[in-house]
Amino acid sequence: MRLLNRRMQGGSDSVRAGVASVAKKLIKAVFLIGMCYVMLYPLLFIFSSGFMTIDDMYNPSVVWLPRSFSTQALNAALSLLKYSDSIIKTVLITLPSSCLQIVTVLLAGYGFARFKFWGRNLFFGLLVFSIIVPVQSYIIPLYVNMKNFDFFWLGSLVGIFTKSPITTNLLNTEHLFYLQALFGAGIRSGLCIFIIRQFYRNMPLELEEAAMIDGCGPLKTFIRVMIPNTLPLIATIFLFSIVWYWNDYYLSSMFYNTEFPLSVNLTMLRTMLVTLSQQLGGVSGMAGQELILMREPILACGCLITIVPLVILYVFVQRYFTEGVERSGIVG
Amino acid sequence: MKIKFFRNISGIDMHSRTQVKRAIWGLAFVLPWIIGTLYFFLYPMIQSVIYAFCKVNLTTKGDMFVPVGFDNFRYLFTQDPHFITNLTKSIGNVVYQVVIIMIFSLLIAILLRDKFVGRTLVRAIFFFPFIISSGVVITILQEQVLMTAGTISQQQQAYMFAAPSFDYFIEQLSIPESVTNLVKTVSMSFFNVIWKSGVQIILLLTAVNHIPSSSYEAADIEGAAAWEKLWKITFPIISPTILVVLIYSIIDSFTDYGNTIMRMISNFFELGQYEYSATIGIVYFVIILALVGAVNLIVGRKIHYAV
Repeated sequence: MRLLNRRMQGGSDSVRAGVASVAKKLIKAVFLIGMCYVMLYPLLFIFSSGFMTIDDMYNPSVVWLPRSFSTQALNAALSLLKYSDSIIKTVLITLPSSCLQIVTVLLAGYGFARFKFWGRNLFFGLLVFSIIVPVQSYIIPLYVNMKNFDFFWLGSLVGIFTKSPITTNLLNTEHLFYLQALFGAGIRSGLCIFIIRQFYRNMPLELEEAAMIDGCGPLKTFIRVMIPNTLPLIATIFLFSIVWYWNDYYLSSMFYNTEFPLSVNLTMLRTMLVTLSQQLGGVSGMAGQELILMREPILACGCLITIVPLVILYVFVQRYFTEGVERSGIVG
Repeated sequence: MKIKFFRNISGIDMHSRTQVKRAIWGLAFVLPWIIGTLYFFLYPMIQSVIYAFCKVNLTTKGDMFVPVGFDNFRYLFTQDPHFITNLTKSIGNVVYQVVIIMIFSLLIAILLRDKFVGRTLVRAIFFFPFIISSGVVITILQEQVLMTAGTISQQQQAYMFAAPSFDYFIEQLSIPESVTNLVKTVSMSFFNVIWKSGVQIILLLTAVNHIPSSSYEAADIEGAAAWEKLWKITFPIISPTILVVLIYSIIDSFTDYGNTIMRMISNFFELGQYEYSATIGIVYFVIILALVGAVNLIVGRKIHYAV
């Protein structure tokens, strides 16, 4: 219809409209290409400096393209980050946590969007509060609670009678992340709930009413009707969770003290290289000197191998959340 | 009497079985989150608030708490040399950052809605800042690429993030210095800011994709101009998402690690002054809460829900 309309306009109007639309397209293309360059600049930078040799690094005539390709920095980054161990650890934290989180978050978001229950406004206020307050401000009590985890006060309750509360130490285990995610207190869970609630509130009621008339209960309606119709949203939220867990280093550096996930190792590598280069004269031995000189390529490669899994994941998921909408006939 | 009370506070008619049933279902949906938030958020948060009213000594033998009343708060507002200046600075920063982020992400989302060659690729590229900006990678890149520290790759700097000719150009215009400085700050931090708008772009894109094309077709038949379509169709339909994005941007800018107050909080934390760190945190988050509440009230009225 739109096409027909445009063709009619083109026929009746003169060349001027055509010129205007070409100009509009050109401006848009230039703008988008420029923005893409801004977005890709760090990636280009990483690729360019990550594979340089020391000679190229300090040669002012070499700007973007290295004279010779070298994987020296890449190898150094792989071994310094203990890549194979830490990536397994990161995946072990990220994947189950994100899966658990998405379930709780979807349920809670739907609950807030469509149901009236006692204390809803109060709980919603709590939700907003939990989004705003970053974990840094209550990390010490949380740490202590995780060290003496009493199964949601049940252990302490038993302790009142038996004089010895049942507690377990969750530090250095992944269960800590799983539990938080399962109970909607994972990384930015509150924000996910808020987004989902806002989205569901905007869905047409007719779908659910039809399901109700067909005899579906609330849970069945949710699973059969709401989830299939909001797959793009779910994919988006899932991707958000994965990226946030993958990139988190504050919680991991707090709750682990022997083996760390990738992001923490990268942070420590950065701190190490920065302090090393500050005491440049004090470092003895060829290995140390070389490390300082190669600081930039090593860090660039470290960044690269940290984000590559996320980029690959995105390539697979993105088709799902951009095309998914157009395929599902129902729109909100 | 009791039933009437319940009806009044929750808007649920206790006589209606379906309403009560739905309320119980709603509670069941939200229950896991309630448990988790009470245990993993509210309980530690309350403990942290108690810290703010105490003098804390964490020793190997155990934690010592000496209640001091409002002393920490009094010190914060009357004697701390940095708090008030940092606070005004960070609120000012947040305002202009949020404005840039909102305009930019709306623009990109609307541009990326239309079909054009290579749209998938462009969308993938605009997702990229999100992957890097939520972790340590952005810190490293800022040091290396944006050149806030370090000396090694000075020659790379000139290519993008400092535009000397631009600075020179606006200095030549005879406009007041305060304006020039503002323009300079905005242009310098522009790249910084748009890297932070990954989440916003994705959320708005999802919302824009959800607009039924039938409404645009109807508008075309009525002969609406592109501008009218934007104001009369696009904005109202995506307005709930705009609110989310606005609130997210505000919170994200306030709680960003680079924020001066956030840095104060973590500095005092690292120095072992937990009670003072907690005090700043509480005051700061009350202020953010008030701001977000105000934005929600003002913008929330203009929100158009489909239901």
